[in-house]
Amino acid sequence: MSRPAGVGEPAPHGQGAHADAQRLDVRGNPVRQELGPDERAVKRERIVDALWEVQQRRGWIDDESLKRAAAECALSPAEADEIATFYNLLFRRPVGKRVIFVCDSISCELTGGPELMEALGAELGIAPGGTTADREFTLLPIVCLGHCDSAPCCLAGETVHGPLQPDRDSVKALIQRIRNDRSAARGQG
Amino acid sequence: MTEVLLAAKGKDGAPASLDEYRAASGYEALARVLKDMKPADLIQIAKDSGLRGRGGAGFPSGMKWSFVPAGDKADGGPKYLVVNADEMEPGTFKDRVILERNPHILIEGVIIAAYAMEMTDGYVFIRREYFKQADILERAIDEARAAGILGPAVMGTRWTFDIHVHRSGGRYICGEETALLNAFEGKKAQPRSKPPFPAARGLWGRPTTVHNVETLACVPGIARHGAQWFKGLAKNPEGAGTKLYGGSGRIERPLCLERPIGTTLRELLDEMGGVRGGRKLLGVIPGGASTPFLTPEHLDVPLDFEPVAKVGSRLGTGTFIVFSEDDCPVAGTLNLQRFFARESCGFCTPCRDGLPFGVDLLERIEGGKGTMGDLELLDDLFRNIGPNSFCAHAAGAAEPVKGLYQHFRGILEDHVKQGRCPFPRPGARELETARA
Amino acid sequence: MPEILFDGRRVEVEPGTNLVEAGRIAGVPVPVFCYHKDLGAVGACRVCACTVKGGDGKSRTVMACMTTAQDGMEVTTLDKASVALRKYVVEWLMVNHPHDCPICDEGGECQLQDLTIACGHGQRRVSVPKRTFDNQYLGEFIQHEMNRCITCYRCSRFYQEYAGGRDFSATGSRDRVYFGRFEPGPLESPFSGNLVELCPTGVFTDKLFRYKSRVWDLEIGHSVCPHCSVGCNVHPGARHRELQRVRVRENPAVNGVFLCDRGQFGHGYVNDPRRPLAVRSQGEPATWEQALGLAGAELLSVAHQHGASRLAFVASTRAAVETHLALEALAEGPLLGARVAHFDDPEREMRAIAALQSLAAAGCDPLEQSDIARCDVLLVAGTSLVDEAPLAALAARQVARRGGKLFVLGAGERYLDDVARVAAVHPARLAQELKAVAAAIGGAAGGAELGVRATGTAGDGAAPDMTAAIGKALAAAKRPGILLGSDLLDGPALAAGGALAQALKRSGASPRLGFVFPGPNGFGAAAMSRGTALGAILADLEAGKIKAAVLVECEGGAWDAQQLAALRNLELLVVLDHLPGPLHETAGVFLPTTATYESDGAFVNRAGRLQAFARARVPGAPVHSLFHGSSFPRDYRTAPPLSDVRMAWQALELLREAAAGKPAARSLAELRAASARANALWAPLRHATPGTEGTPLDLGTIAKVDVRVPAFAGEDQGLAAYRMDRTLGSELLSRRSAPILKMAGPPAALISPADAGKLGMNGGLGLSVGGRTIEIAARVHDLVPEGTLLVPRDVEWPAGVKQGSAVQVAARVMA
Repeated sequence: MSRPAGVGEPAPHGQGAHADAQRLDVRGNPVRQELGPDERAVKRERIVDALWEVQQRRGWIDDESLKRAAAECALSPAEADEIATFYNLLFRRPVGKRVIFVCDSISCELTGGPELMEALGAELGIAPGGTTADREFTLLPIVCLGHCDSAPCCLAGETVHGPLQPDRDSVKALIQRIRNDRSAARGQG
Repeated sequence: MTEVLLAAKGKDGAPASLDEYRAASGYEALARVLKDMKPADLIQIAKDSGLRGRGGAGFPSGMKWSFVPAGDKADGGPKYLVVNADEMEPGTFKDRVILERNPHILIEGVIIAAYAMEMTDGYVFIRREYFKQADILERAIDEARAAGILGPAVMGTRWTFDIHVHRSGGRYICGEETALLNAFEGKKAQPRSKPPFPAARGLWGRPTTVHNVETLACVPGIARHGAQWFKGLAKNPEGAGTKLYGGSGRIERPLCLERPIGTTLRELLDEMGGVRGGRKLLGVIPGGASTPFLTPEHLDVPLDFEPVAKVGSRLGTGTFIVFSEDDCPVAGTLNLQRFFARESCGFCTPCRDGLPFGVDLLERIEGGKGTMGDLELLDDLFRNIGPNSFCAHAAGAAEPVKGLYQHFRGILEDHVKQGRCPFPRPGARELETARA
Repeated sequence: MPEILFDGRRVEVEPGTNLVEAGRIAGVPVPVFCYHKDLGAVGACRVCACTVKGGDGKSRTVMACMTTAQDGMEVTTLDKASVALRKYVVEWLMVNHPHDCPICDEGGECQLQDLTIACGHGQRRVSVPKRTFDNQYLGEFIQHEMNRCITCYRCSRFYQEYAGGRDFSATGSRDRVYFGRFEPGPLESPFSGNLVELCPTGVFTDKLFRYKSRVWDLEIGHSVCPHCSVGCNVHPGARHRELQRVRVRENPAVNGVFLCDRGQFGHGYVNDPRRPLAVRSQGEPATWEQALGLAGAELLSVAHQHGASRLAFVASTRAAVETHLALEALAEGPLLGARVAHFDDPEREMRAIAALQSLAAAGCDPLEQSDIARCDVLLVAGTSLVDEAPLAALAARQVARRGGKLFVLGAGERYLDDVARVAAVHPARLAQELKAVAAAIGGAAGGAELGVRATGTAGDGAAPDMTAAIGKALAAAKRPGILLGSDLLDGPALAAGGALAQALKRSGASPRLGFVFPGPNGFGAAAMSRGTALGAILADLEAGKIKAAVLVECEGGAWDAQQLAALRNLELLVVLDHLPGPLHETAGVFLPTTATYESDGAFVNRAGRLQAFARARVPGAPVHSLFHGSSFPRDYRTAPPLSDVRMAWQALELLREAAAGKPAARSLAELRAASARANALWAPLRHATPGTEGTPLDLGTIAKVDVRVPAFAGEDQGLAAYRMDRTLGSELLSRRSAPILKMAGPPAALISPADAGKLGMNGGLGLSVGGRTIEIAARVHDLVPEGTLLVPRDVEWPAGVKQGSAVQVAARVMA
């Protein structure tokens, strides 16, 4: 299965163009690679990416997808589930085709984040945490997106939108922009 | 003023390409280092330069480099330099700016630092929400590889060194260096106990150094121009280098500006247009959620590690969040505590169960249902949570509470006496985001 | 040795001791939740907070479990700061902990309960609702109540790290961490029962014990588990004449603080309603006097008329030491010359005796259970430990976890294969492999000299480089250990095991050698045997040469239809046991005896450690079964109903008195003293005390005995069947417990991928063996040697078929 563009490369140990050549350190001495991670550790490092990939395809990580990702990384389903349930961006429950993450950290709170969340919820007809009946959108809070210079902001797909206004027209325009953004939709929802 | 970190410019706001970086003297430092300097020399220069970590902790970088076993003390196995690009500290967006505008300065900084510590591999741990920025970085890495700067023969030497990007799953605690290592290894992002420190046993048990993006971006300049030059960039006598400052919240123009370290809050507020709507300043949180409030009395304190610490706060990331006279610091602290409670990894009791306790108390106080006893309890609670947790997460949570009691005791008591939040803007929003 | 001041008490401790252990030495019970001496210190709960004044004179709050005692340290747990912090920790845990005490089984032995009282927490100062979880079905043994969790991570650390389980984990984060399986279903680890003891609250409780009693109402015994030869120590708990639960008892020399599921949940046979509790004589209920009188007279009569050699006395390896000794005593006086066997299975008898001889002859220290984890190099051979001696497998895993080298040369390894270097070795080849290892120790040129066929695949045997690696590692080890089975070893292998240990000794190392024995007292039974006896007895039985027999705790042994028919034709069959079955039905005289947890006695575990046990209860019908709707009992009695049951050794003594006139020993102490006088081997019996660590027997006092165990037929014999235990379902006592049976599932034979392919196997096999056809489910397993079929012991097997016999096999589709 080929990696979609933009997803990171695997760790270099045993992989990559120069893996076969003897690697030399700063002093020109061969590096003792056997002291580095073994095959199992290298596989394990990929688990978040593996889970992300199944989520991109499926929309969320159901049990079957989780088992596949686990097997890819030499983990048991229980072990992979520890990872899948730990992160804000990984879903073990169905979500809408597009998830709108509205930042609720301090800079966005001070600049109208709560009002934005309320307005989005009103426009979509759902409360935070909810999914629209047509399964198009899920509305969730998220912690600081690192775009405080565009506060208040939200993340949908791979795009951070901000600064945003909580008035009805602006919110409608935002939703439309999200609809048009290919990176925002995924899976079958 | 001397722009260093953001000196290289891309066309129309695009990231500076390899050529554009070179046009701004990029990679000259690396060439010189590889040609003329020994790793040990570089470590000394780093120590002398006074460079301190810009990820929040402010640890002296040169000293950090010297912790890594090298030469006879090394066992010949892999050693890793890990870049902490997990920037999730509320109010912080400076590393993002470096990645967007000048990714090659990070790459060069990584290679030089790796050379100093005789590392074998470089990794960047980047938050997944930085989709665009991760792509920019990977394209820059590709450029560097194509130019022979990264790869089997760094700039024609026999040294093999490459940088690989690892994207996170999205959790604040990943920014804690040992939790980052666990997350990187594909384990749960729970911190490790120290000792052993990452320099001794880090990524996959190997000697590792974890550095913030901005810290590493300072390295090429230091390598090229020396320790004294770096010190000379500062505005205050104890400072060293430039700093990417940022302002957000109730500021007229939220910006990221590179300025000499030691620039004051007054100067920065001025450049960013002052408090939004011309309102009066209540205070700022100077460097991310885990720093105590500064108030108008601190407007002329140089924003550098020592001076800010002297007045009871911390520089942290150096990106400040502005509170106007209309913004309740109790409501703000509540927002921060909801953040900390929600982002707890769940390992140790004070953080996992104590922070929600604190949120509950703050909700009551902010909602006007608090008592004077609650004020005592809240203070005592965080005095017990802060120093007694497994890692710095809960300790960080205690900091804004400390600042709240230090500077806004009166406002706290007003909440109790008046039975409501005395500020015009509604506080204590009932969105239940903490327990979503 | 660092010397510290702990709450004003001066103590000296070993270097590297943490402050929790130092406190224990100083007599200060530092409270802990997440700390566990076998799981290590992680510093998660923060309840062990104390204040330390270091050499610099500065005081700081530290976690006792994460702090190493340094010379000159002053530790206090009683200062305001640590007291306040510990109180806060309890309060924080109580933010979400439900007030389940009235309905929680953990009450009375709950660490959280104890500490909440100790810290004085009583008032909830938060108003958030308590977070709740849905519970999972985790199998028949463990009850799940996640609301009670205090997130100490002990369960996941034990299950995943210590025990190597992969189907249980800690999902989620913050104050919503969930400890459970990926999906509801039985926990796969055979050590899941330890979660009950480890969990400091009532998240994981004993499902078999749920809602039965409050722990302070239980009568607790100090006993030894009767389900295998490891000899884990247990606390059986009974109330109202019902055995209600089994919990682990700590013995640092044996099981530490751990138990396996077989031992913890396999006690259903004690309360089995079909259990025979009444004396019967000639098909009718009788009194003890009547039955003993009849039996004694008959035995004497046979001895006079036909000679004592027509008498057969047999006890099994689940009988106590004293029972075996009483059996020997029965064959004295007028009954001198009676045939005595201490095993009820001839294959196991000869292997156990040979193993003991090999061990005694090797002249090195025994590999005690507590020694296993301390080895830096451990060779396990000829056994699947998790099936035959589960706690030994758990201990072996720790060798690898601590950075030691773990090697397995065996068949059907399914537990250690993720941490050990494993080769599937055909039992007929094992002797050669062990010899190759010994040769590698001696520095001789590897396997080629011994004519060992060099193979590279794991299916045929260990590659020469592996035996060389094993030999090298053992020779270089500081604490080498060798642990062999017995069921899967033939004569040459049993001897080669001992010879390997001797070769190690000669090379200058100090090896420890151990075998797995059958039953809880296989070692003791072997020590008492003067050679194999059972085979001849069975042959004479079938030939009609035996006239009378006394069978003690032999129900479930290797008795097939032919032998039962022969037993039925005896002039007298006396059966002593507590299990229902064909022997009970066939007996002319039946004397009900006590189960282990109702007995005083002793076992000898597989390492030769004598462990005494004391009963938890007196047998009898449980209280709740009595009244059937009546409001008060209709019979006046002086003893509880169905309680006229004796301990087996007592019954034998009384039988001896009835037969030979010599007065029975009036007490266990008297019996033990007599045995100790008679045989130096049993000297430790004199001081054997329940609830202690036990006493190792002196291997030097074991009599030399000649026993010949044939070699297994070679590998080119088609498919050879080897009977083997499986963790749950084959051990004859525990498999009578319904939950164990449910968790075990139906038995399945294990076959190698190659053989399965050749047969076109699709889930089942039909075996033609010993004149019978047996249909059995079958599973492919990578580590089954080609040419072998591993058959669980609970599959009914025709008697007389030797271990390792070739069987005709055809594929079957299972319904």
